[in-house]
Amino acid sequence: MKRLLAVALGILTAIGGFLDAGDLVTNAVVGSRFGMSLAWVVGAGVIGICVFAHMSGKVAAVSGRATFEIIRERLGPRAAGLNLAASLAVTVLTLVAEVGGIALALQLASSVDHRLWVPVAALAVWLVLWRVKFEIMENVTGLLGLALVGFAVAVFLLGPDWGELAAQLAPQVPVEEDAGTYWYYAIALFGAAMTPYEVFFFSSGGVEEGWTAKDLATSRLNVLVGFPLGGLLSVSIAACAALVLMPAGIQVDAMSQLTLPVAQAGGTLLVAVIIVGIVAATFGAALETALSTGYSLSQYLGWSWGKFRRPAQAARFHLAMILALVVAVAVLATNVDPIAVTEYSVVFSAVALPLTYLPILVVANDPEYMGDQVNGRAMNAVATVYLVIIVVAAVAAIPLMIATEAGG
Amino acid sequence: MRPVPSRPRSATARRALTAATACAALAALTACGPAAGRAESTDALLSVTDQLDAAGSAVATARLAVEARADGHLPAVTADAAISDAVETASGAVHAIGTLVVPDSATDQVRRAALDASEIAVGPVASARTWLGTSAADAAAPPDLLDALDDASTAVERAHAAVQQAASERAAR
Amino acid sequence: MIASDLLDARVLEADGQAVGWVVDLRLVLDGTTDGILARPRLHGLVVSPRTRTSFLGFERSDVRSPWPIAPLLRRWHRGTFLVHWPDVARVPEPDDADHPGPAVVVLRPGYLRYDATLHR
Repeated sequence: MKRLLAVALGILTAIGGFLDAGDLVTNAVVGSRFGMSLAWVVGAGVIGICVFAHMSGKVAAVSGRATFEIIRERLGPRAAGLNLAASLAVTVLTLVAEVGGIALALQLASSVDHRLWVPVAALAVWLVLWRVKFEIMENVTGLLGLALVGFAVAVFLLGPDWGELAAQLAPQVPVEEDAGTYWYYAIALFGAAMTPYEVFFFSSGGVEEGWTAKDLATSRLNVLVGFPLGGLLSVSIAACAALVLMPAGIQVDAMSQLTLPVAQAGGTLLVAVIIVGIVAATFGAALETALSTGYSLSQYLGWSWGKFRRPAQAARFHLAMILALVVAVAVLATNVDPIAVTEYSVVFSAVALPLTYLPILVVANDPEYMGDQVNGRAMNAVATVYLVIIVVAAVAAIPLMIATEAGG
Repeated sequence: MRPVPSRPRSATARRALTAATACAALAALTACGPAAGRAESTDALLSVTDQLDAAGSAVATARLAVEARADGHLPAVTADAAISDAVETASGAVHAIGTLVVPDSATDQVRRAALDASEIAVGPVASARTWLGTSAADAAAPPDLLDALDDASTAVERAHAAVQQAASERAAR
Repeated sequence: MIASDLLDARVLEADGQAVGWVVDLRLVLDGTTDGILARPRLHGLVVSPRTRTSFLGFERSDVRSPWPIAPLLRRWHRGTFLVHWPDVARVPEPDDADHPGPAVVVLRPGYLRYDATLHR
């Protein structure tokens, strides 16, 4: 049981990281437009985030230092300051999307307009950040988020022709789409899988839970259970969309369309389960992104941080999170489409990723911090391959966004 | 501590630098490829087809939601959310096509035909929502609603084909 | 004077010849206790001849991995050295007539270049 709870951090991070508001929709969009032909990107993203989170978890456990403390120390104040600005912008953008996502999910359960849910959702997120203990927070949202397994169940209940579905897995550009759009969505999916906030949250969460070198096994287990599970569910969502929505000629542009394949497969009960999962996942992701803004800002500026401290002892940390939530509500009050916000946020995640990835890779090789736990040759080889992929994705993201009019 | 001797250049590092630069340049080039410009009227027509796709997708969404609701597979509140999103998408398409500025009168004719089709689509999607509000649970979907949705879908498809043909004629010229 | 007055400053020899940029400061904690830590003292400046970008801490040790980042950075920063603070002749004020423009650090004639690696 204790082991099970120990992986809760990984599951929460994975559910929140893979299956946040925009991911749910991005995977459905991709499934409805490209079938399964982009599923390989999710696989590549899972391996990448495993490598990244494993390194940052290891660094957190061995050195006791979280990601942004290291970025600040290694890059110096100026470069790290730019890094902070970029990372914070992406994280707050994601927070906007998550709060909007909670509101959209609550609309599915109530048919009350999502704009009315936004302040309620933000207030609920703030109360949890303020009052609820870290362990309870992660266990509750992690376990409820597991309801998203319903998407995998739905795929089975739809009874697809497995051979045909597997044949779609080959990477190829569908006839009615052009290559630029294909690669734009490839980067969006990759950015959705490897968001920087997941890593801030994962490593800072390790520090919150007081990991030491002895907890490396827990860290590894978290990574190896949580992220592949998140990836599997991402692919299930794409498969649901590919099986039901694509043949009907539906392009996904709203979260409500995600319920249609599920309804067809499992009826009202499964839809209810999925809605619980979506609320929990977006709520979990909102908590993660809000905490990540607090973590990165506090770690850069040397403020005391962490939910293990009482709010009065980490006042600026909590203030930063409140400000981020206020910004999120203010942005959503402009009636911007939360789905569009998330789609941009995943692409900008891909752009900002090298900034946090490189310092972690460097520190994971430094015996001064890591002692005999430095990266091995195999790990470095994989990590360097991913460094190249991450840099290429970051460089290509903005030109592709402009060229394809954001995938239009 | 001791004074440093100057270090010899590393050939590996030089090669790595070249490789990295080449990678970055290649990425930038492949990324910029699709940015090539399109002719103005073709551009307008492509934007019309995009909007017709959205309208068609909204009709299909409404149909799936109505069927699922009639079969008792979808909670009423969720069906309502899905159909109200579809209404928004469909009327957004009408608005987009209606306000599109086109360069010449031939293109404008095509645009008007597309506008008519997208307007036809909004009606049945909106009535699906009305049906949802008035019907008892698990009531069978009225055949005339399903027929209207099918007709809307056909109208949109036809307009789509017409616009696409016009666009390819433009491009060929 | 604060640390950012020195960071990124151009380093000149006594005769005005440029030898690089300050990329980092090296501090030692050997002063009287101040709270829980000893008061830090500025030991020296890490000077890189070719670039003012960060060396990501590779100057402190002889770590060579991960390839190719470590070799690349070592190449950009080759010839990086440490000068002791007493070897700094002066740091002209920003309004100094002899050194208009960006911040500079002027070294004493006959200063010594030390290896920037930290030895245990």
